[in-house]
Amino acid sequence: MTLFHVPAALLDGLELSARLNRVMPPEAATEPEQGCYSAPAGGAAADGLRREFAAVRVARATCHACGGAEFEDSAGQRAHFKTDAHRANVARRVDWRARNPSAPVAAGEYPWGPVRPDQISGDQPGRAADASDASGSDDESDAEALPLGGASAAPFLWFVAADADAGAAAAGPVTAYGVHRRVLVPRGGRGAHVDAGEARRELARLQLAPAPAPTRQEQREAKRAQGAAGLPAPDPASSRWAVVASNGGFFAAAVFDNRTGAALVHKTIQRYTTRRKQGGLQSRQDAGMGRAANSAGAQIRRHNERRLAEETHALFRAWAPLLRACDLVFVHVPRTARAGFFPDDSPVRWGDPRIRSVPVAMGRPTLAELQRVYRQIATVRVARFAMRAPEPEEDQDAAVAVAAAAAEAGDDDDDDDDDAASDHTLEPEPRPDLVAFLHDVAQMMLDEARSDESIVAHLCDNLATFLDALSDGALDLRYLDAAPGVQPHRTPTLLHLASALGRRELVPFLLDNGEDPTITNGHPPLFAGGMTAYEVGRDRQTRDAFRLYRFEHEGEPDGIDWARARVPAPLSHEQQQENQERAREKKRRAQARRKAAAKNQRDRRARAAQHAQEEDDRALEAAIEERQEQQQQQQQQQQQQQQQQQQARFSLRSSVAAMSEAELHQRMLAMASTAWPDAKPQPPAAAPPLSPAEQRARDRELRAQAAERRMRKQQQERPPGPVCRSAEPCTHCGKPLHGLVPFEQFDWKCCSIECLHQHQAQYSGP
Amino acid sequence: MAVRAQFENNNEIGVFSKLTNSYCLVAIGGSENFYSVFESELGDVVPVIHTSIAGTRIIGRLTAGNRRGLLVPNSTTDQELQHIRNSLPDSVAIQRIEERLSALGNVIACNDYVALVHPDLDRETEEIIADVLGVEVFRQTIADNVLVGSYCAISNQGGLVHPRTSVQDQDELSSLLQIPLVAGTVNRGSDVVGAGLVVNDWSAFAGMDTTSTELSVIESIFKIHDANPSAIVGDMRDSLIDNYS
Repeated sequence: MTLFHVPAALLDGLELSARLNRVMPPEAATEPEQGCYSAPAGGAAADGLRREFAAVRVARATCHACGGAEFEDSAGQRAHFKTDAHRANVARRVDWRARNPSAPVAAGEYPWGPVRPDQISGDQPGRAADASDASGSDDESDAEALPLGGASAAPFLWFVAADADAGAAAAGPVTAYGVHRRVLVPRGGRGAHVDAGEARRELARLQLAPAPAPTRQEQREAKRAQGAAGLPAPDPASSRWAVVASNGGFFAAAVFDNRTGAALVHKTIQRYTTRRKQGGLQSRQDAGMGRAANSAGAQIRRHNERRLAEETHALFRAWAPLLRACDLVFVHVPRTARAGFFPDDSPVRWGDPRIRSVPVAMGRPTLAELQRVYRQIATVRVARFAMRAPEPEEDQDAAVAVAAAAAEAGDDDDDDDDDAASDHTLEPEPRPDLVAFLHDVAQMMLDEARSDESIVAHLCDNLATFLDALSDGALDLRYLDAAPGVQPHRTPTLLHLASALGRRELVPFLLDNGEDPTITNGHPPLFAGGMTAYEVGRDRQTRDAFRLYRFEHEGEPDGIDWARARVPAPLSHEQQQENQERAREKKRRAQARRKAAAKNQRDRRARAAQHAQEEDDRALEAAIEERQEQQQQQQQQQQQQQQQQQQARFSLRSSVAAMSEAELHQRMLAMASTAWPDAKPQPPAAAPPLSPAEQRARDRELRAQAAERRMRKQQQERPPGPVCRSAEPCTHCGKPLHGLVPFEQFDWKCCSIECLHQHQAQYSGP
Repeated sequence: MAVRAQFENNNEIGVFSKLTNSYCLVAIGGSENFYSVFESELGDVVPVIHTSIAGTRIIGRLTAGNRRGLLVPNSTTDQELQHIRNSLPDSVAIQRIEERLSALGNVIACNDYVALVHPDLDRETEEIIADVLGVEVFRQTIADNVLVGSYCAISNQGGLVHPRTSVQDQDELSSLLQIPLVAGTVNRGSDVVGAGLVVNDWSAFAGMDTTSTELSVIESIFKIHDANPSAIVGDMRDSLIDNYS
């Protein structure tokens, strides 16, 4: 039921329900805010001032010195001020004040005892006192005024049939009609007070004649007119609401015709203005940093912010005639972006009483979102309440606490509390009982003992409550934020929860009943960076449940935006069967493959082991044979060597002993320089090349012979020259010098002149 | 535009000067800077007269006046009277008053139409005030203070009254004077607004200590530079909250 077509019969009987709107006693209402100014009632300037600014108090023609006397106008007041009586009273007041320098004087008290002259006796001081008490309150509390508690300032005003509310004994449930409070109550002032009569009149004022179905001809004409003029002409028989939203570089505005509910004009603009991953406007970042960032991205964003503002302003100017014809303008703009949002010559400004904040949670500003918001605002909610007894106090508190927690958790960046006089309706609060119900369902899902069927059955039993909960506009998109045991960053909705827990029977049921699969678990709830319910799915079959549902419901009007839900191509049951068959087949094949591979490997391993055994055996035999051969050879060799050595030793010893002195000397020298003088092969008989062992033996023999002869000669005479007797080696090449005449320089002793030269070259430097 | 000024390191410039719509008196012996503030702001529109009253410099507290006239106490010397008479425009009447409460500036607060006076002022003086200044005279107190000239500053556009003035008194006074009134302070919280502030219909001078918030209240209530009173709650609200939070 739209707000604009409430049946007349129903409308006549409607009353603002005192109980449902939780009336508090009037004395508990907050004290009205004290104004700043006092301005005279007459005079154009003051009038303009008061029109512009509600906090101006009206000057009152009174005389407090004379006990709160009141006068019709300031002329009377002035006349009174000239009287002697007044002077006397002023003197009394001054005296009293001199005696009581700091005594407080409450309003309506005149402790100096003013003299009451005859000419002002007609005034009623009591009335004056009352009036001064209530000074400044524009909406005087009359019998119908319903001051609502700040905590319970729900987003809806509930109307009930007059007789239902009046009858306190009415035991049965009462049907109530909820209208968004923002529609009926203007912003600012003492918004917590709702004048019931005024609200009812306002509701009646909203009513429009039912929209005639436009003929095709009219539609064509309207379209043509729109094309020609740019803007459709406002229908005088209808009223219009505008919805404007801007957030994070997205701007959307639309003007709706209330009679038909269709958008007359709409426009969305998108610009890249918010910093990727960091969030926040570039201008805010610049302001926070103290200096402007100089990166290319920053400049683009800055430029885009400017462009967005320009385009927005141009749009407002272009739409000026339509916006002027709008009854209400619902605005959803973050607080920081409000300055300069409307251009100076805009038909709507922030101070405009037509401006209302959007009273429902809102996602990214798009046309679809605007339409959804408009539908929600313009819909009258019908609910049944049990009016039997007032709720127990603690229940109410708990419910409020839950609601407050949910509101806090879901608090996103659109901070709409704009002034102290706010009536707290800007953040709509969901009904606590509905939230509690949803949390209850979440608990059931978490309980592994519960089967999917039992949960579905439970939901079916409480389908009305469930539907109410899901269609409650005030319900946060991420309504499980405060639910115990749920990880809200992962599963913020029941659909997420069902998907994550693999409760695939629940998925189509939830989708059927209006769960939105496009909500992500990122922040904000429609942010593309989070995961949708499909994406948190536990297994393939759970995900298939989404695809099956998509297959069944694809292409329905007003259906789900599957692309945004990120559910891939739809899946029919046959396809699913086929897929499953294929998967099973694949699994079977894989298993077979695995088995075959295992067998193969086993065989291979066995073969390899056998092979290795054979190899080993063969190697062992070969090794034994080889060893035997080697032993034989070694024995032969040893025998040969022994013979040869014996022969060589014998021949060497005899030949060396036969050598002359000179020859031996030469031999020794030659031996020391390792080079046997080839020119004179001595003895010629030993022509065949000598093996190293033979050489060593011969050297030894030579040395022994030489030593023998030296001993002998020594005993006969003095040693002949500087032949080195020590065993020290050649300084350069390290050869032992024993028996040589070393070539000496400084303390170097070298075996040969070449060695010495080389050593010189090495050490004496250039 | 409201301007800040200081007389020899003293912020109570209302003590040392008197400003009306047709003339301005300043005490002699001040720094050239003090005079130049007035002269540059008032320029050729109204004469700025350097004078003393009874040999003192507290001329703002001793004299009272509006565009039609000037009242000086009996103690004013002939020489001073002559000098002032020579300097004032011809349309302005000057009158020496025989009055016990000789600090006329403290006991009389007036604009071009209304004067609030000390309740104990002589009836004779009251008549002279009405005649010379062409105003309706009301005996009144402001926030229970008899020194109405000290505790309020009014022009034809609006008025600033003692911060402790009750709401009812403000409403009553506003009706009596037929101008918007606001309770406020000057010189960073001083309640002696008449001494800290001199004002006429298009300009205001406040002590050097006056905060910008106070200054903007002054500008808006006296409608100086088209400043709108709604700015106090509209534009200035944020800065006020910043200041007090």
